[in-house]
Amino acid sequence: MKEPTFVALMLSPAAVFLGLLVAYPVVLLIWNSFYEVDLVNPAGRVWIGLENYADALTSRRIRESASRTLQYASFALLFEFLFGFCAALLFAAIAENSRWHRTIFALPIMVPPIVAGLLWRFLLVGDIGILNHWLAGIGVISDPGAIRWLSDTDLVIYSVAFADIWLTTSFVALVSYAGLTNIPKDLIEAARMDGANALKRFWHVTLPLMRPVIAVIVIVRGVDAAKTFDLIWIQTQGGPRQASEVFSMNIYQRMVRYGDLGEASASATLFLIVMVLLAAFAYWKIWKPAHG
Amino acid sequence: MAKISLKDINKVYGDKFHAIRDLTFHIEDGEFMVFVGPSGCGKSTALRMIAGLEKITSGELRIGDEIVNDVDPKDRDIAMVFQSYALYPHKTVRENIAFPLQMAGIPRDERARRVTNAARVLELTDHLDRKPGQLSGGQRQRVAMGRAIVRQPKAFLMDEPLSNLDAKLRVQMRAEIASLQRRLGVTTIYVTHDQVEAMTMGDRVAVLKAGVLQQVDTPQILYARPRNIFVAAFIGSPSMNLYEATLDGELLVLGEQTLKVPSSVFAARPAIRESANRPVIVGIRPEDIDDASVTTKPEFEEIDAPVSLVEALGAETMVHLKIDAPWVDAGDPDAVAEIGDEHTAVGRFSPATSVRPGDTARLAISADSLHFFDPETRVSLW
Amino acid sequence: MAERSTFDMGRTIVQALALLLVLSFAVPYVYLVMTSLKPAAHVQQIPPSFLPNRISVENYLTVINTQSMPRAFLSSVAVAVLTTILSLALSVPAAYVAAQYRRPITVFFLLFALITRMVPAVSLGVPLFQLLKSLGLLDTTFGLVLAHTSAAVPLVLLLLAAFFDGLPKEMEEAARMDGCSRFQAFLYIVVPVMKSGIAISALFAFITSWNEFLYALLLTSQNSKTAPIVIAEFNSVYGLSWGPMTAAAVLYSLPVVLVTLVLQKQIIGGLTFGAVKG
Ligand SMILES: Nc1ncnc2c1ncn2[C@@H]1O[C@H](COP(=O)(O)OP(=O)(O)OP(=O)(O)O)[C@@H](O)[C@H]1O
Ligand SMILES: [Mg+2]
Repeated sequence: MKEPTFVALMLSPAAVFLGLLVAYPVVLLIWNSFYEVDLVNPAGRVWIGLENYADALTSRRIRESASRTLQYASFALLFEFLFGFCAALLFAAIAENSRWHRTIFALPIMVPPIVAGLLWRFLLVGDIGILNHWLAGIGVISDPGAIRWLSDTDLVIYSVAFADIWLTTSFVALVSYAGLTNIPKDLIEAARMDGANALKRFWHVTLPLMRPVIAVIVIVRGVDAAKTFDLIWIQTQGGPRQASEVFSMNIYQRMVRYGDLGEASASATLFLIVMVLLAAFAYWKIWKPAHG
Repeated sequence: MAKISLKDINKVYGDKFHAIRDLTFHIEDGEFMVFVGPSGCGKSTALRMIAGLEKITSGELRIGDEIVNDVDPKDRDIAMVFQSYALYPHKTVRENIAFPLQMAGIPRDERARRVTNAARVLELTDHLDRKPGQLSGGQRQRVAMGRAIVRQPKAFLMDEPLSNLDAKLRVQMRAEIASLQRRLGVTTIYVTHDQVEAMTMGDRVAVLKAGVLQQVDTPQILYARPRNIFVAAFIGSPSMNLYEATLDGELLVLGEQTLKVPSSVFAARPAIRESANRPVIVGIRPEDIDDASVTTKPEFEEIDAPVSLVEALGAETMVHLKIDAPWVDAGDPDAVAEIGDEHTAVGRFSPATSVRPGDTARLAISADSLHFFDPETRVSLW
Repeated sequence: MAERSTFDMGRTIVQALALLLVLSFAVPYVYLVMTSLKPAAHVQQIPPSFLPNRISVENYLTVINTQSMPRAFLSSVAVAVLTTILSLALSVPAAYVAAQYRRPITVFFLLFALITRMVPAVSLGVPLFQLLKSLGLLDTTFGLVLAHTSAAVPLVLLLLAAFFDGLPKEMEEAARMDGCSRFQAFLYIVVPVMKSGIAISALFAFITSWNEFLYALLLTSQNSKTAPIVIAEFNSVYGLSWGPMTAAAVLYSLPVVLVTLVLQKQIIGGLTFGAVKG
C-alpha cells in the first residue's frame, strides 16, 4: 500500500467521526444562530441575520454572566495555581519523602465534578455546613450562620469556585512537580555556585525553565474553568437570582428552559470563538516562544 | 539470493535536498558489498531505498531481474539489520526470530526447527525465552542477526549493525558476520562509516561522499589506486598525507626539498610521464614514511622534517611531522579531526626509531608508492 | 552545629506544611465517606460531627433499593465501556500516523484535535441534540456514547500521539522488512509494543465518559440516564436527602478514586505527558 493511502486510511475513521460529531454540529450551531428558532418546533425557523448576535451583545443578563465567568475562572485559576505551585515546591523541597504526600494529594484528581460539587455544597450549605461550624469553633467567625456562602449573591460566585479549586489544585501541583523534577540539577547547582540565593535561583532559573509547563497549565485550566457547568449546576443551579450563572449555564438555560435556540446558538458561537482564540493566543504567545 | 543493480538512482528529500545523486552500480549474487563514507553522505538513504523503506525519486532498482522501484518491502524478500536492532520488546527472542517466518506463513514445526538452527549458529540457544530487555548489547545484536538469517532472503541489508557495541565485541562480531555471510552465500550490503570495517569485511567497497559515489572497488584496489583525493584520504588509517607539490621531470618538489621519483612510476602512469613544472597534489601514506636511520626499506628517498609529536604504540611509532608545503584538505571531516588542525603529516615509523619532539628527522620515503592527483579536478593521475 | 539545627528546623517546618496541605485536601472527601456511613437521621444534625457516632449502611441500602440508581450505574458503566472502545478504535490508528508520519495533513489533524479540545461542551450540546434526534438516537445508550466519544477522542488522541512520538520508527520498518504490510506492522507490532500507553489512554477515555454530566443531562431523559444525572436529581425528587446522596456520591466516585490512588504514577504520567514534554 502506498504511504499516502495508508495515512489516509488510518486517519479517516477519526477524521470522519470528528467531522460528523464536532465539525458538523459547529456548522449547525452557527447556522442556527442566524435564525429565530424554537427548540420545541425547530422547523418553523425564520432567518433574522445577525439579530441574535445583536441581542446577545446587548443583553444585560448575558453580559453579567460573561463577566461572572471571568470572575469565576480567574478566581479559581489564581488559587489553583497558588496552592498547586506552592504544593509542588513543598514536594520538591522534601523530594523523595513526598511519595505519600503526592499519592494522597492525587485523590481529588479524578473525582467526578458532580461529586465535588455535591461535597462542597454539603460543606458550605446553610446550617449543616461543617466549614462554618469549624470556622466558628476556632473563632474566625462569630457564629455558624455568619457567612452564607451559597446564598449571598455577592459571595456565591467565589464560593462555588471552592469545589473547582479543591478538584484541580492537585492537577496543577502534580504537573508542576513533574516539571520541577525535570529541571536539570546541575543548572540549579551552577546558579548556586554563581552565588545566587534561593529566591534569585527560583526567579532566574526555576521560573523561566517552568515557563512551558506553566503555560500549558494556564491554558488548559483557564479554558476548562471558563467552560465549567456541572460543578456550579449541582451546587446552585446558577442561583440565587442568577448570581452564580456563568456563561455556559446562561446558554443552557436559554436553550432548555426558554427554548430560544437561535439566541442561545449565537452566544454559544461567540463563546466557542472566544475559547478557541484564547487558546490560540496563549499557544502562540506563551508556548511557542518557549520552544523556539 | 540475487544480484542487485542500481541505475541512475536519485533521492531528493522534500524537493530540495539532493541526498543521492545518479547512483549506479551492480552487486553480484552472493557478494558482500560495503557502503562507506562520512556521516550524512547518504549511506543509509541508499540502503533504505534498496530496502523499500524510502521512495526512489528517480532511477531504476533491480533485485534479481525484476525492477522493484514500486514493490513493497514485504514483497522484496530482503532482510535488514538495523543500527538500533529494532527488536520487538514484547516478544521473546524465540518469537522475535520466528516472526519473519510466521509472516511468510511457514508451518509451526518448520519454524521451530529453523529458529533452533539459527539460535545454535548465533549461540543464542540458552536465551530463547528471554525478552530483548534482558539481554546484553552483544546478545541483542545476535538476535537482530537471527531475525535476518532465519529465512533465506534474496539479500541482507545491514545499517551500521555493530556501532552500538564496544570496540572488542565489534572486532569479534565483524569476523563472525563476514564468515557467516560467506557460509550462507547471501548477497549482502553493509553500511558503515568505519573504514577498517569496510576494508576487512567487504568483497567490494563503495565509497560515498555527499550523495555521490566516489569509487567502487575491492579493498586492495581502493587502497592502492584511490580514484581521487577523497577516497585516498578516507581509506587507510591514519589518513594519507596530502600536500601541494610540483613535478618537474623526474623530480618532485615538495616545499624547499626534492625527491626523485623512480622511472617505474612514470612507466606505469602515462598521465604524469612528461611533465615540466606541473603542479600536483602528492599523497604519501604514513606507512611509506620511516626513519631513514633505522629503516629496513630497500629503496627510499630522503627528506628532512621537524618532529612535533611522537606516539609509541609498541609495534610501531606514530610520528607527527611538519612538512613545509601547503597542506591539502581532502574533504573528510573525520580525517581532519584525527590529525587536529595543525595539519601535520603522520609517519608510521619502525619502533627502533629514536626521534623526539623538536628533532628534525631524516625521513625515508618510499617514492615508488607516491600518489599523484590533479590539483584542479582532485582526480588521481594515472 | 547551630547551622545544622536550623537546617533541621527548616526541614521539619516544610514537612509539617506539606502534611497540613495534603491533609486539608483529603479531609473533604474523607468527610463525605464518613457522612455516608452515618445513620440517615444523623446526617443533617446540628452541629455536624466529622465522624459518625455509629457506623451504618442505611444510606447505602436506601440508594441500592431505589429503582433508578442501580439502573443508572449500569447505564454509566455501559456508556463508559462503549465510549472507551470506540474512542480507542478511532484514536489509536489516527494518533499513530499523526505521530509517526509527520506531514501537513497529520499536523493539521492534530491541530484540529487540539482546537476541538477547547470547544465548550455547551456549544455542541444543542446541535448534537438536533443531530441525534434526527438519527433517532436521543435517549439511547448509543447516542450518548457518540457524544461522549466526541469529547474523549480529542483528549485520547493527543495523549496517544505523545506516546507514539516516543516509539522508534524502526519498529514499523523492521516489521515491514520481516514481511508485514504497514497495517500488519501496526497491528502485530506497534499496538502490542504500545499497550501500556494505550491502557492509560483507555483509562482516560473511561473516566471522561464516567464523569461527564452536561451531555448526559441534555441527551437522555428516561432510558439511558447515567449515574451523575440521577444523583443530581436525587436532590430535587427526595427533597434534601443528604444521606443517600452522599452514599450515592461515594459509590459513584470511589472506583475512580481508588483507581487514581493505585495507578497514581501512570495517571500523573498521562496528565503531565504533554505538559512537561512540551
Ligand atoms: N527524511 C529526511 N528528510 C530530509 N533529509 C533527510 C532525511 N533523511 C536523511 N536526510 C538527509 O540526507 C542526508 C543523508 O542521510 P543518511 O541518513 O543517508 O546519512 P548516512 O550516510 O547514513 O549518515 P550516518 O553515518 O550519520 O548514518 C543527510 O544529510 C540527512 O540530513
Ligand atoms: Mg546512517
